[in-house]
Amino acid sequence: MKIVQVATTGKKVHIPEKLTKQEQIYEELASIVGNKYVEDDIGVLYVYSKDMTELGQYLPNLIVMPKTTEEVSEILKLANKYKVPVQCQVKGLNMGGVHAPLAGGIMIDLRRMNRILEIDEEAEYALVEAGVTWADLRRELQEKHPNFRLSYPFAPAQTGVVSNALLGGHLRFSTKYGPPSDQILSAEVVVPTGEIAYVGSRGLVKAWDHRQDLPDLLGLFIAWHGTTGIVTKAAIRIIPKPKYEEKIVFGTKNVETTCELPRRLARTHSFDAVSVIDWRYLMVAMKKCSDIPITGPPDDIPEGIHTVIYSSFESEEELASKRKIAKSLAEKYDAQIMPPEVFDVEFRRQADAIDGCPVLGAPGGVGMCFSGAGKGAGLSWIGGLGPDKYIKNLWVKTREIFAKYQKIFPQLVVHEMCWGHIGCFREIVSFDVCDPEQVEQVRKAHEEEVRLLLDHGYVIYKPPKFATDIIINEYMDKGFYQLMKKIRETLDPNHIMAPGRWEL
Amino acid sequence: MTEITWQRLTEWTYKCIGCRSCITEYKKTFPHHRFDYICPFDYQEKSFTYSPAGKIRVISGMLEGIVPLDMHAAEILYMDPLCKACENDCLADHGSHIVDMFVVARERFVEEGILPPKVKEFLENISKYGNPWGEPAVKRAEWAKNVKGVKKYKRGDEYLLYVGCIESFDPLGQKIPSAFAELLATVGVSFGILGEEELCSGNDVRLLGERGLFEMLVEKNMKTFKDLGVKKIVTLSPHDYNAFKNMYPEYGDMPEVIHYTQLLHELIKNGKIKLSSFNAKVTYHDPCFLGRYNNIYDEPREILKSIPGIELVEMKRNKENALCCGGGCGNFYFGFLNSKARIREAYNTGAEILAVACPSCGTMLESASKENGLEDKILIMSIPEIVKKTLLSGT
Repeated sequence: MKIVQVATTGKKVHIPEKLTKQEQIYEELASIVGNKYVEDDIGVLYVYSKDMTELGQYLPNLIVMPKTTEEVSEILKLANKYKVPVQCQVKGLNMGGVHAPLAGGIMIDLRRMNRILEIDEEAEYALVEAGVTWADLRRELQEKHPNFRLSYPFAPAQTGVVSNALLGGHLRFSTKYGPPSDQILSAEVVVPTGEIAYVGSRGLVKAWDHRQDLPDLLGLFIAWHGTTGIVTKAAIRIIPKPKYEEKIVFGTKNVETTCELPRRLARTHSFDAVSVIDWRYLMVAMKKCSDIPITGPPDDIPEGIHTVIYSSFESEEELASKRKIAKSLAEKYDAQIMPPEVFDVEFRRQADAIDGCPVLGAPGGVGMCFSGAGKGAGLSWIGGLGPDKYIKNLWVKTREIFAKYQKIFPQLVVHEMCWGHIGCFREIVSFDVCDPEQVEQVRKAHEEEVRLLLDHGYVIYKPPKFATDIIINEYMDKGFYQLMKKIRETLDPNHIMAPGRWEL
Repeated sequence: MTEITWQRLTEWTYKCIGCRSCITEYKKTFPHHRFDYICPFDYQEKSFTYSPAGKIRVISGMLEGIVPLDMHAAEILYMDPLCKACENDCLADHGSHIVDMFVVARERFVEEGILPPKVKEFLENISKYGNPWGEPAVKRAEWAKNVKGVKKYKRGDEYLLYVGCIESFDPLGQKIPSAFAELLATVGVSFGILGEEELCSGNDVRLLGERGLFEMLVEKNMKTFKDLGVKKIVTLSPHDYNAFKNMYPEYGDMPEVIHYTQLLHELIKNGKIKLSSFNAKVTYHDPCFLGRYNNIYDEPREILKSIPGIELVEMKRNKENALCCGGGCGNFYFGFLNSKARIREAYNTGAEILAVACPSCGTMLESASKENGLEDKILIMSIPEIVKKTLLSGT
């Protein structure tokens, strides 16, 4: 692997050596998918290697764009024949660099597999291919199934639905409906040796609609970062739209109430989404990113923390009851519910500016909001799911970690999941990728943040390679390690799938 | 066009985080985003590389010295009609300069002489013959031979009718000046054409990065306009309109420039053109260089709506969010892209006629219509042809 350090950014670009028999592999790939859908030009390879993070940049040797599950299967058989690494990508937008081909090899771009195969309103799922994006699915629902919606991710609309759900994290309605992986009901997978199988209820019967009370092999593909196979189709849960929906924004005065109020709100089982955003996230969402100082909030907004809740309801009585709950908790925790006139203005400003930010709206180009105040737009985060009783600790200690690094400042987000059973805590940093010092500070802060979360019993979602290495070497149970290793060796005897990811 | 330095280009390439807001409609439909794809590349089944965000990455790879300035990179950068749809929806700092970024990068390929063969041929033909096909200048006015009232421009004529290249040499394109000139002559507007003295406006030349050739065309065209004392120019192609309106003024004083849809609209509004009934369901395709580049959306629609009997139906992606035909920046000549998705969208409206206001769009859509087997199902007509068909005798 040749490593080039980019002068502008300090980023290391990893360029793999040419594969043995690369021309032959190219020809065979072309015979599977057609010449038009195989690329080995360095310009194209470079495009697939770049992302918005502070992490290293890795080029594949070849890119292939299959259209069908059978083609994916053939590609994997070919990769086994030549023992070539394989990495999958849909949009390459995750912020853990999880799509990067750490060992080069074949990059399978799944975006041509973009059909929405079925939407079953009765069973409340959409059956989609791996290349379908949230934008595609939302459009389909809007046009043909207007009584349904999705629990959107905190991501641009162009993110892949299946990959997003498999990688985990949190969604707009995770308070009520749980994490992304809970939205997958059944799936079609191609295992590393090329065989095709169904998991979830579809594996046992001809129904895609659930994964309860059966050997849940779907778990073999969730958060495994493509090391156990490629999910080519999945049934994703769709959500009936409530008759009405109200969004409430609270202003909280200090960290204690900021962290306690949402827990209490979530645990009433009354609100579909309860999340917390800090002043900077709010500013970013309001597209003021260019003016945001690197340091903390301005003096007139001591914390500027907002709790946002969505409340869906079917009748005026239900609304009145939910408002009462919100009001009484706000009083208890000395939080301010934005009065209607302020609330309207405030909310409209946010909503208008936020565009697709799923905190308050549909999925969308939230990425652009984070393009940062410096020359180059960098964006990266570390987040985890775990006991929400530690959120205050995480909030305070994360601020302490970042206080050591003068050139970067985190935006904090909290999301109550599963009615407050678990919490999602995430720091996001928008930084200047053209400032090597900032890049280095982000790297160091994230490493500390990973350990902070792990020490509090939080599991990192979409962990970058450095984080999985920390987990494996310092935290993982030995039995778990052995079991994971055995599964991986059984499924992928030639170790072709995403080498370097969850490397045991 | 914004003059941008190499340094600024470097900065802007690093401003893109690849969020792909550039490929779907977004801002203009807030808060009811439909997320329809508006980037023509999404219909060509090309890899991510060919999308605006992909191209920006290729440029940054070039700037970093990892992606060589070679023919592969040129092919990626030149496979783009620069339809500006990406600028519509990108909210990042570089968002309103994506076209400028690609043009500056293309200038580098021109400097190095690394151009896809078709692009090279296109530019060479314009350089030698003043048009992309390498046709002799004497053929420019052949379309006018049997058209009543067409003459060479002379001092004192109200309008110089700038015909354009496709309209002069392409058999389909020639229908537009024929119909429009006849309309002008019928209602007594004084106008003239340049005939063999007409030269390419250079809109696409500039966007292909050949600044030297463009400036040569500017110099020659401006001299012609000045020598003839031209006060007003009416263009047929939105590309030419864009060049004269937005690019030429950087080099000196220009006559007043309008697009033919603006003039037709005025003539209809003032009652100079009276229209008879024409029963048809019509949809209209917004050309990028009229719409997104120059914000002219209403006049073409007003013209169509003023014809009794015409039912104007909109395609889902229209106005700022219209899907490009793929023909911009010489792509009508190169054939790198196609218009299949757009013609299907037009057909799906149930319209019998697809009205176009740009000759490049017309040729692209006509060819896609044939490829899709829709030539008998939806008729592609330019606005002047439609208006001429409905012109009341005695107007």
